[in-house]
Amino acid sequence: MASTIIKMVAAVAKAIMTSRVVGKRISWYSHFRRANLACDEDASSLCISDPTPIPVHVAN
Amino acid sequence: MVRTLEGMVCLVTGAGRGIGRAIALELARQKARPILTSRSSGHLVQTAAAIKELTGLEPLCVQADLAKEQAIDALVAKVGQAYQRLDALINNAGVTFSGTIEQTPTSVWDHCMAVNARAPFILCRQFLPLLRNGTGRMIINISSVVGVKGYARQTAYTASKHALRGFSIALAEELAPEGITVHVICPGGVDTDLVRQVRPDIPQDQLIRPEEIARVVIWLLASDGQGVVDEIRIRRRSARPWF
Repeated sequence: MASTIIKMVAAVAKAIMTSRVVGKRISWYSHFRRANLACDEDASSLCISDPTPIPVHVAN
Repeated sequence: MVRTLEGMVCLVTGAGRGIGRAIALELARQKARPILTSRSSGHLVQTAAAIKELTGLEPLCVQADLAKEQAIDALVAKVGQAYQRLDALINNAGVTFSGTIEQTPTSVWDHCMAVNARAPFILCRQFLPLLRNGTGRMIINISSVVGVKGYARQTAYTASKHALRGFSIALAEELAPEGITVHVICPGGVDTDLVRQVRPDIPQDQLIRPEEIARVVIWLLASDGQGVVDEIRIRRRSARPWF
């Protein structure tokens, strides 16, 4: 019984941690704090993305 | 008269999400060669992966903060290195802000102007040599309904989109003798993260789909007759006509 509850709690915690909704909330909050409410097309940098071999060049 | 977009090298800014992502995907469907740029590498990679799944090809992806001029210079260098030409430049990236003038810090005004107006100006200037090498010779600037009218609580955003539209009109005059055309698209509320944040009052099902704007861009790129469409205004079906 105890292990089942632990597994359920772990599953819920994992779902929350990887949730896109939560990702967006964190992103929105961090952006709100950083840029005085400004939002932009590229703001959700904290959203989790799939790893992929496609190279991304950095121009900054 | 329409032309094929196959092989056209087209740079899309803000390609990670929203309208830019939809434009990049539609370009890939048309067998063009989209170059993707965005400030966030995470979203950039997701768009690139979707294109790879669609076409089997890996688009050139460049992460760049367009508020920084040196980033734009580096972006131009990478595109030049990869293709030696550019057929179409699509300035789509944008930032917005919602608040009264008293709630709008100068930093927000500056950021809106830097990304929405200054960056397209620098991009157009720096990409001109590559555009002259290309066959498409088109610049498409995504302005907004607030490039034409004004909304309360969006003073900085409105000013920046008016600036982009005004810049486009002047640049079109300047580049016409060279056969480079400059176009402006002014969309109303589009279903993007950006619009959902500043206009939560509009029901999502009434927002324009990003794919609809992408299809207009494709139509514009493919238009090859004697007529030239300088500006396209797109409103929500539920909004008042003729904004």
